[in-house]
Amino acid sequence: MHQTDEYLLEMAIQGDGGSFGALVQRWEGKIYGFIRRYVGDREDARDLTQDTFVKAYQHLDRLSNPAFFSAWLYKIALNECRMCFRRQKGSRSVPLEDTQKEVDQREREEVLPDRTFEGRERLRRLEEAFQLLPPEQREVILMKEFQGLRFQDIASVLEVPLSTAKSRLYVGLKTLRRLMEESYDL
Amino acid sequence: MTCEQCRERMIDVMYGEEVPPRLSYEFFAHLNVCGSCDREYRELLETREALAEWNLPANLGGESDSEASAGPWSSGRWRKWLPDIGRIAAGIMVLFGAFSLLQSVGLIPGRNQPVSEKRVEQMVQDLVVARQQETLKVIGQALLDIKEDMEDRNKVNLQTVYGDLYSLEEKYLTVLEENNQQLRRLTRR
Repeated sequence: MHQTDEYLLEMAIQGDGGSFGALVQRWEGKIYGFIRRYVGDREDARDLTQDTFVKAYQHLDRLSNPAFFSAWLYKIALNECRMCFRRQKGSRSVPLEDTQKEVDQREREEVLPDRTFEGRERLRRLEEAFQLLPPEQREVILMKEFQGLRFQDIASVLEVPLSTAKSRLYVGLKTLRRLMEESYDL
Repeated sequence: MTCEQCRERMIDVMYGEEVPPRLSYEFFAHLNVCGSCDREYRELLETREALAEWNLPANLGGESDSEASAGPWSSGRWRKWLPDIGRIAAGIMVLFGAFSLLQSVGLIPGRNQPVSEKRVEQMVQDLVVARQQETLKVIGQALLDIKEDMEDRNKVNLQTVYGDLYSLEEKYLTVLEENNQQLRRLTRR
């Protein structure tokens, strides 16, 4: 029988580590995907994902309404990402040549059999442009495009009005396009 | 709809969250006549398409969105408080698979299918056609009503005219008879 997040949470709060393990299994892929795209670095993303779940486990009792578990989890992940940026002096603006080195290195390490050179190049430009976006625009694009959250949930996670979440997405998509176009002009 | 209103609604229409059909209709009607807004809408769609291609590699031992489980958290630190995780995960996967299968064959309702942009456009077009047909029907019925009304009025008018003519004829005959009688009287004298 499929157990709901709420049920597993109740069990976890009562001390059942296995239930929390099931929640981790259910959510770690999404949380990792969110963090990985946010911070750009694979190792950082793994550490931050682990930290997110550890914090969630430590503070389970602070979750007032189990129905908001996913929003709460994204909020923790978001805070972890923001703290990571602050530790790195608040800037993830990476020089282009460094980004290229990182991508080259990653391509040596990883195998991307489904991608042509052109596809990899497009992806590189996208990732590069994405990392140059202001964090508030990056966050809302990630939550909407990759996590499929509703605008109401995004507004709740970011603690901003609904209209702000929407306008950040609008501006973010336009900025991303401009940055990608600029990278082709270089 | 103005360009400003169109841009305010662009994200709503693009993601299809709580957008009334009337608003979608007005939005796409505006795009049909405004090249600038239409271009902007298409550019946003293209950017979304580019983002959709951004998949994380699936061969990194948990790197992909859906298969990140075998990655970094299989260390002892997690094992301490996550006993039986493998068994639970396997059970959940089997149950989830069965549940998805039942949903896909329609035995269990409730899965929200994402609606594609093409489908939304088709729905809006269908709506427009339906509304046009409805409008034509209303106009046709109104014309029929007007025609019937005019025919009724014509009937009433004709009856009145004929009535008037009839009374005039009667008066004319009465007066003519009176005049004839007077002429006869004068002739006798």
